Amino acid sequence: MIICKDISKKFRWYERSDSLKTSFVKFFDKSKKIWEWYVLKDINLNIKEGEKVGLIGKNGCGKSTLLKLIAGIHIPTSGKIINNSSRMLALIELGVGFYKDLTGKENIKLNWVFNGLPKSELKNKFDEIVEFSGVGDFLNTPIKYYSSGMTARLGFSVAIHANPDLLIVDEVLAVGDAEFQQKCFKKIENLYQNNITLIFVSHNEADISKVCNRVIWLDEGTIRYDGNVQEALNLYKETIPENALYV
Amino acid sequence: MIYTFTSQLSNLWKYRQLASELFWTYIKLRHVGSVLGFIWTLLNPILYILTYWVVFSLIIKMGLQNYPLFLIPGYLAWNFTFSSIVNSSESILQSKDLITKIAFPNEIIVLTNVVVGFVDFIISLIIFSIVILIFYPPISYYITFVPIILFLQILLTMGISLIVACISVYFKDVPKLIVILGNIFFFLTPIFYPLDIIPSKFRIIALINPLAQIINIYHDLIYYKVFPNPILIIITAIVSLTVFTIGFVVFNKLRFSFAELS
Repeated sequence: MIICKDISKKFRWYERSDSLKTSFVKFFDKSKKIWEWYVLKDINLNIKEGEKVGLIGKNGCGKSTLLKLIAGIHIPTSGKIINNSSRMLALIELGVGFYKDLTGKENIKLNWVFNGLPKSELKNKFDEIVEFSGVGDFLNTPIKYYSSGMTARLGFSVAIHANPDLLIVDEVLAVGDAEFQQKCFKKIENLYQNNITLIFVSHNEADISKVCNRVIWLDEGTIRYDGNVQEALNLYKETIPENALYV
Repeated sequence: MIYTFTSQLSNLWKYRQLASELFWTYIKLRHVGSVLGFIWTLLNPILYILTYWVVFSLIIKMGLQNYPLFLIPGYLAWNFTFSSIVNSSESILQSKDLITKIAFPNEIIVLTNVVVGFVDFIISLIIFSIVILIFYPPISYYITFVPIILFLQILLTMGISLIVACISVYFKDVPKLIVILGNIFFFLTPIFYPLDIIPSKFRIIALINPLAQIINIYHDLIYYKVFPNPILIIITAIVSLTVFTIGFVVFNKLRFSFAELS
């Protein structure tokens, strides 16, 4: 279960954070600028176990920040987050934590432990991961020779086989080709039986309605709508100019 | 504060497998593409030690018998701490992607860096011990106390490295500054000269430098073959533990801003 209570997130941009010299100059400069802005304002959320939540909204509305707050990468400026999942997996970007000079095999191992998972479990899952990723003969090749799609597939494959109870996915599926995307969604749909919680960011209306049973629409850092999938998508669509292609 | 410190340590313990995987990754990756590979790890101290040996026993006469026996442990110890600090000052910025996109205890990156340096240090020490056995026998039994001091030194190094890693995220020129400060501190630390040749009114410079004390103790144990002043060891232990704890507390306070700043 995830509870977000009155969370706000403020980002700051200091003009002085670059180097000692500029910071010294700015110290005496009374007109120094500190840019501050709220990415999220007073978010209240309650996500129950097994819910499949879609997050929609324009670029810069705070979707990724909310995901990172839930994942524990950022901490909120104010408010409180309770996240009592024991096996959380956050896919903020595919292939992060991969070292380009290591082989696919070595990277699978490293990525597994990066997510805090015990190595002993990897033995049973390893073949499945390799097969799902479709890396095949490239398993023992350094991943700098992989195509970006291959790297992404490997990253997703590790995550999906980790048996998470909470899976956070940030728009990452757009990378793979159509065939792989279908495979991924099939895998995510399979997770319905395991009662995992899913938080899913996407700009694709079809994907959202396929996997989610609740949609949250974020607009300029606040929740504009929270609830029924179809209604959320419809309301969101109305705010978009007719000639825009994507939801 | 104590509570968060212990919970931080227990969280680290949960990620110990990551630490060991990262350790092997660093070992594997650091010599990728270089011809001499692991030899570099040894070549660097050997060349420096030879240079200092020539300079301070042939050109400037230090007047110490068996000079290499004096020079080597101090230099290797210095090299471990200093190179760990330099590596740590860049480690967070180099791992930007990991820190902004994966949730894991970030200090593992810094600590693993220190451990990699420590392993290099131990390997060089073992090779050095063989050299002593051959050229400067016998080894005194005081050498059995060395592991205790090694432990204190790794605590101190981890503490300083964590602090430096944090500051470097805020001020990008700290890594450059560290290299310069390192060169100055190299001369202020009794590495190629004994502590007691510093005039007593300046000795405070060495006394406030915790690494100087540690190297001084190595000199006592290995070169002078005497037991160091116990009070000195206790002070060193307190300082090392304090710096270690401060390092963790500071890191824990600042780590969440890394994901925003780096």
